[in-house]
Amino acid sequence: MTDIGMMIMVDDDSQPHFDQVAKGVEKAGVRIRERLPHLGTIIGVGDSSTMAAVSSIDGVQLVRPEKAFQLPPMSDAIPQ
Amino acid sequence: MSEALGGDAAIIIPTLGIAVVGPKDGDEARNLAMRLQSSGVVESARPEFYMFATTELVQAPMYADTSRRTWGVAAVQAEMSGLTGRGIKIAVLDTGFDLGHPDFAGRHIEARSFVPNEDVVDRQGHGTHCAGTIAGPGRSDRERPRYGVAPDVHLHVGKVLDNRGSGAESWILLGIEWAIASGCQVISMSLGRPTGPGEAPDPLYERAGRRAWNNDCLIVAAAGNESSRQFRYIAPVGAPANCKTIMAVAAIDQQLDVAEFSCGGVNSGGGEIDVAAPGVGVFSSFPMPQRYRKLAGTSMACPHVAGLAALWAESDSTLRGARLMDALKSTAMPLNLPSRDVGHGLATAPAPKVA
Repeated sequence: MTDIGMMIMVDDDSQPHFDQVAKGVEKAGVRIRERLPHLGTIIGVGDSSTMAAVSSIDGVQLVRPEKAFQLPPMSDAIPQ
Repeated sequence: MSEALGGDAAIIIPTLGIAVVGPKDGDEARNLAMRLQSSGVVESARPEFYMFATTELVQAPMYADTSRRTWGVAAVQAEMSGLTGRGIKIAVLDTGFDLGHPDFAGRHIEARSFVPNEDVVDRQGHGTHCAGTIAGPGRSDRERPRYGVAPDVHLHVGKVLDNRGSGAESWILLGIEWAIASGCQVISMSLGRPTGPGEAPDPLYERAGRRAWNNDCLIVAAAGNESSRQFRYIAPVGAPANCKTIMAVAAIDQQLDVAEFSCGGVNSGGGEIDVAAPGVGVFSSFPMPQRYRKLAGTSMACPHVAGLAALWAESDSTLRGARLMDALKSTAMPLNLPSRDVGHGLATAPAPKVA
């Protein structure tokens, strides 16, 4: 049982009901960290086992673990 | 071997199993070659070739930095356009910015950190370099050339990568959301992650790009540096530049040749290169006390195009979002290179208005 960051994408048709979808996500056991209404995305934290439940919520188009980005080491010899 | 040659061999090299027969005229040489090949002893007989030392042609670069402007500013024709990006807001989502850099003294800069427990100050250097290419001073001075493409833009610095150059996806999306809500017309993202062959764009970023369009904003992103062209390996465009709604920028050098490391349009469905821009030997600002640095990478090409997007947006208030992207592509200068590598070509500034 490990908490992971989750990216939850609300489908276009459900944008008017963004808050309602967010409530459903919370009910599924996800702690919402950020709501991004312009992007129609919810960022949350929860146990990885809750992902399946979140994906079945009406209005959720996609849920997946949060990823990370990394720049190369700062160097004149390494393309940035 | 000399028996098979009938005593004609002038030079025999036993270690290599090769013999050289003295000069013969055409018919005689042809007959001898046929006779030797049919003898069963000689594997191959052919005329001797002359070899020449290979000479590497060292060409003078087409563009070079001068005391007046960097080669990048010249190549994208920013100097000639007369436009400066005035009235246009650009967000640079990166490692922050050196707000105390002397070249930006007195400039009004919006700045916000989305990295927990880190202020907006750039302690890595990448963000200050990229922001400098977009918005560095419009005039040269005794210490440095002009290096900013759009010197009068209203810079919005969003720190989404920490002081070690790494960033969680949530910080980056928060930065995009902030830039859109702030009314930025352009977002410059010199960041990404490598993708695999055949990998489809992430729907989350595809929609972020579309939402940006719907809000009169264009996201410009670095294509990535994972190619090794000397070994004929061309890596696919990274994410999120591989989205159709996000502009993917490749890097070219001072010869207007594609950079060794620059990713290419290997994947379809958005994984194509849209345009190319200067990305080798790029002079720009760097956190003090170093002040300036030359760097290479598609991270350096991306802010050239973001700056150009500001110039186009300034030139015509209807050029926003997808229309702005189309304008940059349709006005790019074609290069004699595959579109896989440079898309529509070298992105350029609007032509100066005729009075």
